[in-house]
Amino acid sequence: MEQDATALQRLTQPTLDYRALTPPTPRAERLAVLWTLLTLALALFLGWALMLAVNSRTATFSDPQLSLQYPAGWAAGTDDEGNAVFRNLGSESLRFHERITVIHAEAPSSGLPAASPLAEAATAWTLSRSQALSSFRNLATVDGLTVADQPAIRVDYAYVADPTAALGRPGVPVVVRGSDYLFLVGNQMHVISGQATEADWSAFEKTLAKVVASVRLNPAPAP
Amino acid sequence: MSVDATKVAHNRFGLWTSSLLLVLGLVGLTALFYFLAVEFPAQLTGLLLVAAGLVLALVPALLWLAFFYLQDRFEPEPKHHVLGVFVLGGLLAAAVGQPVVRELFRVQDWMTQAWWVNLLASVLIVGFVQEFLKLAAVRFSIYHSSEFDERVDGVIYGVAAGLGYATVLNFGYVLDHGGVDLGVGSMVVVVNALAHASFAGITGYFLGQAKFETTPAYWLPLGLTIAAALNGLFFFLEDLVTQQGMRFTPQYGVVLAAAFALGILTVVFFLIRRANAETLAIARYREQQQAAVAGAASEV
Repeated sequence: MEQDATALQRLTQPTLDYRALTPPTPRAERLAVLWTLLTLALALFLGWALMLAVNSRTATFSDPQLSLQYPAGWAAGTDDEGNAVFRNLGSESLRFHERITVIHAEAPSSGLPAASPLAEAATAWTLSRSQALSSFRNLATVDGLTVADQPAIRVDYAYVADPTAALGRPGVPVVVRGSDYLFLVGNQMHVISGQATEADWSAFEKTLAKVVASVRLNPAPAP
Repeated sequence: MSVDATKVAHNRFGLWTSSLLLVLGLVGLTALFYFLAVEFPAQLTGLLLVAAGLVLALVPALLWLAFFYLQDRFEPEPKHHVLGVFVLGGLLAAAVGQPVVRELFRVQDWMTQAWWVNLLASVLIVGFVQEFLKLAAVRFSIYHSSEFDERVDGVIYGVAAGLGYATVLNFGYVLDHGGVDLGVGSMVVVVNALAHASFAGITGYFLGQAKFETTPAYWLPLGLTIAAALNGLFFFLEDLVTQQGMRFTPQYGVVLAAAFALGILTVVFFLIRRANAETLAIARYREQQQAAVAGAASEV
């Protein structure tokens, strides 16, 4: 009890410490700033290491057709059409979370002359996107790519999404950018579709490229 | 070299009363806004909603400045200096803090993966960056001015920098959400303001000591680390108490922020009072010593 009282007294009562009336020298002030900066640098270095460790963690998605690795912290689910979707619920834009969707469909036909079945499927796919998405713009179509050791085409596009309208709350629409990687296996078309807002796009593009690079075809089950 | 003890040890009670009024005023204001939002749902949409949100984001800073101005009128701190540090805090948040946290580290992409990741990232990245910038807003501006002549000035300018920082975060919140409704929006704004002002009060206390006393080399880093740790811990706890599954209950965040702010400002108040008493005691002791020496000399 007595000890507690002494400790409390030490904390609350002034002591005759001469440093209390002696301002620091300029050198001491410079050192204090230097140590503060070093402390900040150490904290940020540890934070950077934490970020690298966390970002290297992935989760595996697998369905009968293919498997891929996506960031472990993303939320996995399905969209209205039953396609697998992985969403980053922490993305910069709170109104439209960046997402990657895995779509399997029968290879569509555009009815237009095309260099290959894949190019024809890409044309038909772009057409269907333009009808489904508001203010759709096809930004580029890049061929000569490979996904899961299969020839692939990437369709880059942008459209205007109105995510708050579905919630019944009026809000400002957002411009969304997307890249769809298409490849064919037999008569089956597989699409790895990535979408994010303009603000998220530059960082998301790298994540999408990593996910696409991780795609592997699953062997067909024995008959 | 020594300092003017009575000046350094001058305590500005206007600061403490205005800070207490700010905490009480903001809690009362959120209760009022919440009531209004429930009873009279606003019909604001689009740009009007955004404009209302931006005005709302400014309320805490305006309230504190108004309270401080009224409380401090008999012993005034130059208001343009206080306002200048407030603006500098905001500018550093917009130009450095947010880009580093959200674009360089992109913490929003990965910090929610596990509770321990969230806590560590909140302290090591968000906490340290935010608290360092608030400290820098004072240390590299008003700190060397002759206006920074009292120990408690560190807290005054620290709180101003913290409110500036919070105001920019609140602007970002409003713009990200395309405007905010009065009830939830006011609570988020108040939580940010109370939290950032009180954490900056801690670094302000450490700065005030460092300016007028010979402190050990670890003194400022210690202040920064304590403020960063409390910052990270607070926002981690705030997430825990406000997000329960799909339910968002921001009112718990307001209670937590008010408790943190009151607790921190009370501790800082007593620390400053103790340091001031120490300064005055030493000054008196020195005077007595000098008088004794002078008396002895005259006798000789």
